[in-house]
Amino acid sequence: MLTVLSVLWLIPLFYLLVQSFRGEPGAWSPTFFPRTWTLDNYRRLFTETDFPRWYGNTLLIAVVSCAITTLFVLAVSYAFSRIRFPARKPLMNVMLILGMFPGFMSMSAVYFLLKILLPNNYQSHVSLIIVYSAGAALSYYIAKGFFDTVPKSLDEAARMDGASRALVFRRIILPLSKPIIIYTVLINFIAPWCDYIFVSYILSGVPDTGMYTVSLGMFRWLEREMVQQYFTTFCAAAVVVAVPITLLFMWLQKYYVQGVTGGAVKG
Amino acid sequence: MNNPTNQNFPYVPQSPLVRLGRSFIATLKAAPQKAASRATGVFHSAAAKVRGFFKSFADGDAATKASYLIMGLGHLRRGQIARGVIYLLLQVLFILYMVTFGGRFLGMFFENFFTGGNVGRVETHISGEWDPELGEYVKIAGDNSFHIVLYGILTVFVVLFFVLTYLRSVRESYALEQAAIIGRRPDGIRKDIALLSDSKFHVTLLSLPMVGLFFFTIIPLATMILIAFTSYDANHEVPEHLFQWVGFQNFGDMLSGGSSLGATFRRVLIWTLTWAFFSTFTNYFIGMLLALLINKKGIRLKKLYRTLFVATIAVPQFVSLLILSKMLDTGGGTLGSGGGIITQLIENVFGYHLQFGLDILTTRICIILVNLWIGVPYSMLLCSGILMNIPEDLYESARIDRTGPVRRFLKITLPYMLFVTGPYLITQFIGNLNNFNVIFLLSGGGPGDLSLYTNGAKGTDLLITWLYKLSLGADRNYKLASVIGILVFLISAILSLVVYNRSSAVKGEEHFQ
Amino acid sequence: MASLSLKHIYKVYDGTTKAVNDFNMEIRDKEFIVFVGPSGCGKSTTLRMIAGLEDISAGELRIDGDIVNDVEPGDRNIAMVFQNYALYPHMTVYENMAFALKTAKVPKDIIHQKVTEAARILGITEYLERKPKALSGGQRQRVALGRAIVRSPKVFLLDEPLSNLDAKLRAAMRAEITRLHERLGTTFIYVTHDQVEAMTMGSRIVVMRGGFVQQIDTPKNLYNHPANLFVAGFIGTPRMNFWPATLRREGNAVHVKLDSGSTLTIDYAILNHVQPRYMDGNHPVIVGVRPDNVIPWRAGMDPAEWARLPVTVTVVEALGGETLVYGHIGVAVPDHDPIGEAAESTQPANSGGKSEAGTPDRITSDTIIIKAPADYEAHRGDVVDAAVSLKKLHLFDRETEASIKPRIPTENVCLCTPEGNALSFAGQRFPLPPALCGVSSPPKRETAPAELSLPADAILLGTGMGRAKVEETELLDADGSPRTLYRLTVGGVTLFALETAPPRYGVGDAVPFDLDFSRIAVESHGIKPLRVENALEGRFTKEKETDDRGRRVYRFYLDMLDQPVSAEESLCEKLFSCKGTAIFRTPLSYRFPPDAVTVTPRQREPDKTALPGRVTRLLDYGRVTYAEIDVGGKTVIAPYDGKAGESRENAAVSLVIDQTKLTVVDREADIVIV
Repeated sequence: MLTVLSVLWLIPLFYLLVQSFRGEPGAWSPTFFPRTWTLDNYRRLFTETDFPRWYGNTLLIAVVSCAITTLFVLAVSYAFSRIRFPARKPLMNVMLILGMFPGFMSMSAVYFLLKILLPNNYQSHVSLIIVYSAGAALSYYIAKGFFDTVPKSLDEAARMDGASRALVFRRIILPLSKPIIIYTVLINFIAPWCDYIFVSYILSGVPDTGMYTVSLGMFRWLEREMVQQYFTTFCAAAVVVAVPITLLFMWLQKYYVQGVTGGAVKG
Repeated sequence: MNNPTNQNFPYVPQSPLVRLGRSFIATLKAAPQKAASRATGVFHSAAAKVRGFFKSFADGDAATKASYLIMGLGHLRRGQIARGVIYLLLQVLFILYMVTFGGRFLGMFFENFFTGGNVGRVETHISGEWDPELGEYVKIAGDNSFHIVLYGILTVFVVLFFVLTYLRSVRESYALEQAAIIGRRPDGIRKDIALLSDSKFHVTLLSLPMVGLFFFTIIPLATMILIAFTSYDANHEVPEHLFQWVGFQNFGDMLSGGSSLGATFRRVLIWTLTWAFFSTFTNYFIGMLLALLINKKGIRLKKLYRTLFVATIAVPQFVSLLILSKMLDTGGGTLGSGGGIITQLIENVFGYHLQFGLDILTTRICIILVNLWIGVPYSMLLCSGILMNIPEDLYESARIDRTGPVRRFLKITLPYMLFVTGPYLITQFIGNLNNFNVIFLLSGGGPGDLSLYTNGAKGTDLLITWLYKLSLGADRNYKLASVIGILVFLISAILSLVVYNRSSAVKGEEHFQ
Repeated sequence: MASLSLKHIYKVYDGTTKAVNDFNMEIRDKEFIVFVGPSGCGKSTTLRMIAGLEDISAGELRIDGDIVNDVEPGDRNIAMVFQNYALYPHMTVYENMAFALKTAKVPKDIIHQKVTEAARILGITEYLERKPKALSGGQRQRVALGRAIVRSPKVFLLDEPLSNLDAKLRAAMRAEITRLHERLGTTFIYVTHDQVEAMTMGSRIVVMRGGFVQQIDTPKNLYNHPANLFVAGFIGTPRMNFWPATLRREGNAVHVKLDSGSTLTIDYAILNHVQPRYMDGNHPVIVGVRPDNVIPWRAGMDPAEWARLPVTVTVVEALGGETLVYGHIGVAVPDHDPIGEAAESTQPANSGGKSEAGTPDRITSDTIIIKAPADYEAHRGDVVDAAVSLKKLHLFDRETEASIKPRIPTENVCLCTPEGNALSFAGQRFPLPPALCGVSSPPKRETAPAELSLPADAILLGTGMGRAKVEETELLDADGSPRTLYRLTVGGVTLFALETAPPRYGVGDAVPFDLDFSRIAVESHGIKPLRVENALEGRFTKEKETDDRGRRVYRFYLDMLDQPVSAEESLCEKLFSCKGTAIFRTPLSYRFPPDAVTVTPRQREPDKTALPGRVTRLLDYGRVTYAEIDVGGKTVIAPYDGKAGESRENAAVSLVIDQTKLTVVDREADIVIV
């Protein structure tokens, strides 16, 4: 039973993999396995398309925005979890409410703001990084839930030991927060690889298609005009994108599970 | 009241749903009173602040009085030089901002805000002057309505912040005077900076994220909320045209019974809710069953199975969903026209041509099925985590009572799971209301539907994908996009209230420590 | 090396809920103080305020004389051991212990030396490289202690450090902590809800309930002289037996009539501390006697020391070393469930629910616990005889729950005969001072005996026409101020006298004495004690003035009933340090005893150093004359020697208040500030 189910689950991914080696052109083939096997799609991907540049772009954006986001999330959630200041409750409520609006409802205004801030290259990676990082604080919830479970007496003991709050955060809490740090890093590193909406909004007007990220570029390949020509290339690209991310994910699976379970049960 | 043995009321068992409903209604009932008492509290403290404002002016000495006019003078007088200079600078900057920039936009922003009418004064127009170089009449750039809304709201916030800062500086300078009277020296800037890593550490932690939030979430969101009250659409595109303040007209159109827009909205809304309901519950239950299967005693390679399923979470959704959409593709539409591998398979085996992307119902069913593929591993992961936490003795006592596995599931596992994951289910429901990826990458919202077409929606569009199309697609209709955004927010907010109500009833934040 | 001083410490939440109320205590160097009480009594809050982890809402906390209210916890030189140890999980034992020193930037070799030394003391040297996770509960506890030791703190705070350990380990650690205290010679403050820990470890114990201090005393005194019903019930296991009763005195015998029907008869000499008004036969009291003092009756026991009570046995618990017999007084089998009740009434008072509040809600019960030898045989339903030690009875007022047989008697009550201008009691005759002559006319002019209440410190030894014989002296030394309690016999009546001085008379001395008539009361004859505290409402204000050299300066005033009085600098400092600038906005009440006032005839216009007043009545108490003085509509009582003028009544006077004796109260929040 389980074997059947897991095969069922893996079929699409397997299909993707074998199609990336398909020799004959066209969007669809009548058979599951290609008739001719070739590495040509990969060769083409790396030599004839902008894909390597897209890959680099995405990697850069992912690393930078992931770093900023993780810092923001940890800072905000620690502050909310541990420090009692007058504005705490109102701020948390405001952020809760902000989080309920559809994220890209405000995109057109953000777009205009970016235009003002970066008049010369608002359709750029910097814009994307800003968009990914600026709203990071809103997703403080899971990390706060984690910090809430770290006993308060640890903070107090460290403060009795003469540590300032900053030192407590750095020397006591952060080293204990490995699971949640990894979870936050993982989620935020993967997000730019998967995001299509914001990329399409910000970068779709840019004349140089080399500026694209993988998701935007590959999405283009599947549009009606290009799908016949690029389908197998898409499959190859998909493999190149998915394999590292999947491996990363598998490697850090434990922390991901801890994160989602903790977040869900806390409600 | 806390002592159950003293209660004279007989215990009446209630279903969890009834209980949830009751507590929700109780919250709603209590809400006005709570709000009222809160409002009076806020009013009183505000009144006290206002009184304090005037009293400290009357009471204060020359320096304090002067700081009512020029911020920071009080600080400078009492020796808090750095703070005083910062306040002074802030005031200068504020005045500069208002004079050169903010004031103008604020004026245009509020000009017709309450009465309705153009946002901005001058529309872009052709002047009578001929430009020989271009060979056309000189175009005079008018006001940009969108900029006016954006800068207007920005300026409103700036003014608000300034007023708060002003009040704070006044309060501080009076407190400094008082402290000087009892012989206390004020803290220098060094102390202030040192505090930033200790008792004021939250300021350090929060300031950057909050700045980001303010500029890239709050300001844009406020702007777009205001857009819902304007006529901003393809016919009023900036900067060529001005748009107008129209009050609640867009909401009226969207929610009215008769108009075609209203009909579209209702159809999309119903599908959105249906989709959220089915996708949430099918995922949840099948995920739970899968978790039970994997966690059953005697199953080997538990970890391997779990990992296999998790692979579908790990692969970026735009990859997996796009490939699935291609696997389901019809190719042309009719039988024998080839298409995706699954379509072909079904055609070859059953002689039926899958109408994915052509027939609305078929597409919807396919989407829900594909969503299972995407979502079940996720809820499987979650459920196995919780299943392992169910106390073993519950099962043991059930086994002693000779309960069968089905009954065990229904009487122990399911209630426990529902209790623990109740909030998660609702959060998940909200998430699915806004599940852009699955719809957009699988069907792109299609197939088209004539009755929906005029308003830019298609057969499987959710509110959220409709919103996306309205704000980016061919027929840009920002005002409607904003209205939809606000309505989605309202739905989410009401559902969240249920979650909040429930989880706050179960446990307080502090109790967890 | 550190003394602590807690003065009027309060913890107020949300401006209304007071978690700790007016906590006052002087802790000397090297003391082992235990805060004990049921959960929610404020003991942990008080400890955390000392640690600096909670803000002090009001009051003054000094360590070695320095006010530390606003000092960060890390800078108070205090170490704390937490209930869950709070070891840093990611650091080794060594790093855990070194953290504080590292934070303080102590050189590495000194850190090493200190940590290894502490590890040696605690016997954890071999675990230094381990993480806390790899340690057992007891070892973690030691590490937590070690982390505190390495800092050589002035004060050691321990917050229920043993409650996570199992019973056996707990006993061992208890001894270890006591040894550690002796070895380090540091002041220890230890919080626990376990009265056994408190009794075995503390040099002094603070019993708290509901935010109020119930009693501060040595373990022995707590056990033998509980100040109220709560302390009596809280300290000691099994819990003290409580029986509602009334007392009636007949000659030299006092009959203790239990509500359950039995009567014990006691020699009056044993109860001579007890005020006679409780012995009228209907004042409701509660008799308490510890199970230790209830044993099976044996033939030949002295009925003067032991009372015999028939008991119907309900439960017998053989504990091995001894046997506890639970039962009901009397021979009738009660119709309610005896087992449950007996079990319930023997629960330690801290076990939760209503009994946590200390007031035993089964106070009407007649249950009894007998501590019998191990070989004692009894069965459910048997009727056995219990012997109750009469000398060890505790008596409490059923209303106020306070002990009516306190260790230190503060008030003597004896019979007296007011005879117009004189007062006779115990064979002594004292002329009444003029202030009391007028009022002391009884309803009937008979020389009927009346009840005289005479505070122990109103007996003034050394002068006067009374003659007393010292029977016993006891030096009381609480909080560092020596006091002496004398037991005197005066004409066959026992009286207690308290002096705030070391003993100056020996046993057997004949001592003359006088009475402070302003303190005595004969209720039936309308003689009341003079009010001992004056209270004036007011504020604290400031004025801008020009000083001698022409500079503009602020002066501060105690604004009593709109009469400004210059505030002394030391008082200002205290007020500012407690309330900051909020002191100007707080409605205050100034309280001071009559002795704090010096009255002088008013010569000039009032000059802001003294309160203007007008004498309305003179009260001549012989030794001292007091005056009732009208100050802005309120009456102030102050000593007044009218040497200055002829017409003393109605004279305009100035009142100078000794500001060191002034109590300042925040009228709005009802908090004592100074």
